Amino acid sequence: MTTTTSSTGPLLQVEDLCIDVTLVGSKKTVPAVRNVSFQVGAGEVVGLVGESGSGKSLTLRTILGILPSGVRATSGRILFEGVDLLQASKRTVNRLRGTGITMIFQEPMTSLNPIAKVGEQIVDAARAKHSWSKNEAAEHALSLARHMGIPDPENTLSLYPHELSGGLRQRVMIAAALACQPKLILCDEPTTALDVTIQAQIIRLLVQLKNELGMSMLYVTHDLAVVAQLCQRVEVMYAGSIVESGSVSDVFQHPDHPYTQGLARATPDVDAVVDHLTGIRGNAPTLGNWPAGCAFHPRCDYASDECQSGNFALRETQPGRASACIHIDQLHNDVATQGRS
Amino acid sequence: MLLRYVTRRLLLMVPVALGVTLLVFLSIHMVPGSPAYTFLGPHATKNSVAAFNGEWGLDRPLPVQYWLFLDRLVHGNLGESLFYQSSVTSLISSRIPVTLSLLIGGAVLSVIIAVPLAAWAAVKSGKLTDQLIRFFSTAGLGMPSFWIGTTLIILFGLTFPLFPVGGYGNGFWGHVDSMFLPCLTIAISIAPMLLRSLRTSLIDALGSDYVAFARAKGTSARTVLMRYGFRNAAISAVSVLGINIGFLVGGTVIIETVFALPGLGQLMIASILDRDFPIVQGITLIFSVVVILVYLLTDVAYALLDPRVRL
Amino acid sequence: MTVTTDTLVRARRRKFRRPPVTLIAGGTIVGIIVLLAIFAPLVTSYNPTTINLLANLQGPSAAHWLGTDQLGRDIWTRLVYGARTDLSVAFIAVLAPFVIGTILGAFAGYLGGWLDALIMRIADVVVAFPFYVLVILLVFLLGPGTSSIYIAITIVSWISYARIVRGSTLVAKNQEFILAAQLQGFSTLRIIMRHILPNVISQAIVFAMSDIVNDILAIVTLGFLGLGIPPPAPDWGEMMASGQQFLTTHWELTTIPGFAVVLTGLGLSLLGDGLNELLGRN
Repeated sequence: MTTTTSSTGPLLQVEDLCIDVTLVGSKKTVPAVRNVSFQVGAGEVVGLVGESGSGKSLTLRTILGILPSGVRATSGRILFEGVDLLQASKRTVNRLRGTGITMIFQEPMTSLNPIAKVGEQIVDAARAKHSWSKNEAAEHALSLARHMGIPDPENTLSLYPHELSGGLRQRVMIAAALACQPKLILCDEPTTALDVTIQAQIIRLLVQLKNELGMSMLYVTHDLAVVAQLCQRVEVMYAGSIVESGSVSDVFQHPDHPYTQGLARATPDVDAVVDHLTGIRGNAPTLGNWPAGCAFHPRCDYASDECQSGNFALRETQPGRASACIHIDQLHNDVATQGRS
Repeated sequence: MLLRYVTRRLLLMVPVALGVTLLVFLSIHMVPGSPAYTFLGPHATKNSVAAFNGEWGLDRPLPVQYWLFLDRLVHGNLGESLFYQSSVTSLISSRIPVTLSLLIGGAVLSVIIAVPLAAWAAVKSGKLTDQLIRFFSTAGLGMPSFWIGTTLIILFGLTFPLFPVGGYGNGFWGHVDSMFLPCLTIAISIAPMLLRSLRTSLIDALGSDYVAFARAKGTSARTVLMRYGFRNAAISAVSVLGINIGFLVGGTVIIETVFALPGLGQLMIASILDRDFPIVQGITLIFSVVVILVYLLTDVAYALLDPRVRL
Repeated sequence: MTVTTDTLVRARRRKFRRPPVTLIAGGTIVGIIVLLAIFAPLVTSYNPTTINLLANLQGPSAAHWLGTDQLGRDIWTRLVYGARTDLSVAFIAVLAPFVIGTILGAFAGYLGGWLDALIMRIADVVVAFPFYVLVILLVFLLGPGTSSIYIAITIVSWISYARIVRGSTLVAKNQEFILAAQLQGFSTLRIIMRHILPNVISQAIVFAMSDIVNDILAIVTLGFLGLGIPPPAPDWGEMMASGQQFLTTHWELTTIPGFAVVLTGLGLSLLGDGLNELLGRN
């Protein structure tokens, strides 16, 4: 067993991860994630922020080894408690799913088996792992459901997913994900499909669970407000690469990348430097059509000739902070002048 | 609740059943020329023609004829055979067990063949195994069932005489022995359709979010395949099997002829060659009743399997 | 205007797409069989109906590539001429149900109401009969002959086309370009023929491929039961049926025409799958 190589290191360490996608129509293989590295420490909540198509969800699915067909991790390492999940045997990965790492999905409707009772779905994985009897499984399902704030659990657990509201379904999914007591929970925009009021309830539940259980979380979203509420650190992704990384307060208050700055400006409620809402001009590039150089340059106000070619890897700007932008000084100057005027 | 669902479905079947009887009733009028001469032969006597027309009510107005037809039908009277000295009802009922066991045996065997192959192909989706299974199921679609039957006879009846080449055998095990090849023939001709649809819906299910989530929460691969894959794929497979029941039933007509099994289908073909119209008409009616009942069963099975269907 | 350019772009894109393997394989198989059928007199010097009792039941030889049947007719010759008969009957038999079913389905779907209800109830009644049972019954009633086969197959198989086209029409009729056409005041007939049909017909065409397979199977099965194309015209089903008597001594009489049917069916099924893949990618 090689599990104990780094008991003091981060819980999850992703190094230089590259993922390729084979497009359905043209059968062309294009990169979807490029040289992504980040860590999640024990008990830490890390946000992974970016527009759709930036590769955040694929990164999550790669960690758990549940990629759809046509998607493949080509290089890099994913270390969970020192074990490289990309090299580990199917058995090892299978054992770690649920007990080590788990994931909750965006769409609670399609992520629950439509023809199985929700109570059964909450505990079926844990039941097999612990060889619980039917009654024991039902007991555990009930206590999990109570913990998740599912009202009238005795009755609710015998219903089917389509008979529940979106918020309840999401609570069921969280209960099912937590049934094996994982150390790390990957969240793939779990509130995007919900009404705003329900969103707030689910976020509150996640905060409460994090505090109670001391779990680590990797939280994918495009909603900066959620990140500000939930996360300690944030990784900003654009076109398959991480363009900025740092603590949430640092990154949002003093963005080190024009893309992050644009995101912050486009989001209300984040206590960022600007108080008016503006969007980022243009559209995010689609898969297979990423610009050369800094992929953000066609949409960037600071873009220069140097931005149109070459390699834009993350560079440390201060301890614990990194950015891929080469015009940070200019960016900071601008923010400073705007702040004074 | 289930009872109410079944009743509602049954009521919906009534117009279809009436349409079926109307079509079967009208079938005699589709014969070009005079039905009596067609069925009794050109040398029939005036008396026998009059008797034939009287029995079938062909000398009365159409609506009256239909009413008489329905009236006899509800009394279980399908008329008298022109060829055998016996009522159609008794001829048919003595033949039902053979056809029914052929139908059920064929359906069960086709499931036994199709399900594991579909699972294998779906799990290996896109790989060589999958492509081979797909190729053979596509080839299977183009095989006439009587050719499959004949080939099985050549292989397992003549070259390697493991099974009888025809007949119904004696005693229970004799029946089982002689029914195996016919059931296998039906199974092989039905299995490709079932296999193809089951494979597609299994691949859909295995690529779904709920399977990804099941794996993410630590469900074992076996459980994912059985509880999340098959259970969901079975729903569409049941309806495919139900929709193709017409093919299955039609298949028995041909298979019974190939294997000389004394069932309804063989009686139908024999009666066609004898121009024994009442029997042909009666068997057609019975076959469509079977189909309608299977449609009903399919609906019920679908409702039981899929909780999203409101009972 | 935008619709036109859009279609143009899509058409051009489709042209550059590599056709699926199934389409190529199916097209090749069907192409070879069709060519053999068309040029039957060139690939054999025998007449398919000439009886030569002195040379009956011979094995393969240089003179008779696949041997001769119980009446001394050359099997290879009967096979290629049989392809002529069975393929042409099947292709003609698929046309009428295709046209009738597509038009009825489009009208039923677009107009709805009592017409829709009537057409669909008739369809329900027809599918309550097992396919072969109804075809056999109809051929029996109408008397043997090719035209009976056409009528029987048409009565039975327009249903599938009608149901498929009706389903896609229900989807298409709520799309914006149809609403736009309605607002422009085009007649119902024009909307159905010019706007609905071109958009829903591809599925019917894909189905027609698998339907031809069904028709060929039905034709040879009728021939096998003695209800098919009247002798002495060469027909694969009749060839297999007459071979049955010699199953113990000359099983190839039944097996060879069977392989011809299977190969044709395989080719057409692959063609259908390939077509489906090609159209389904949009």
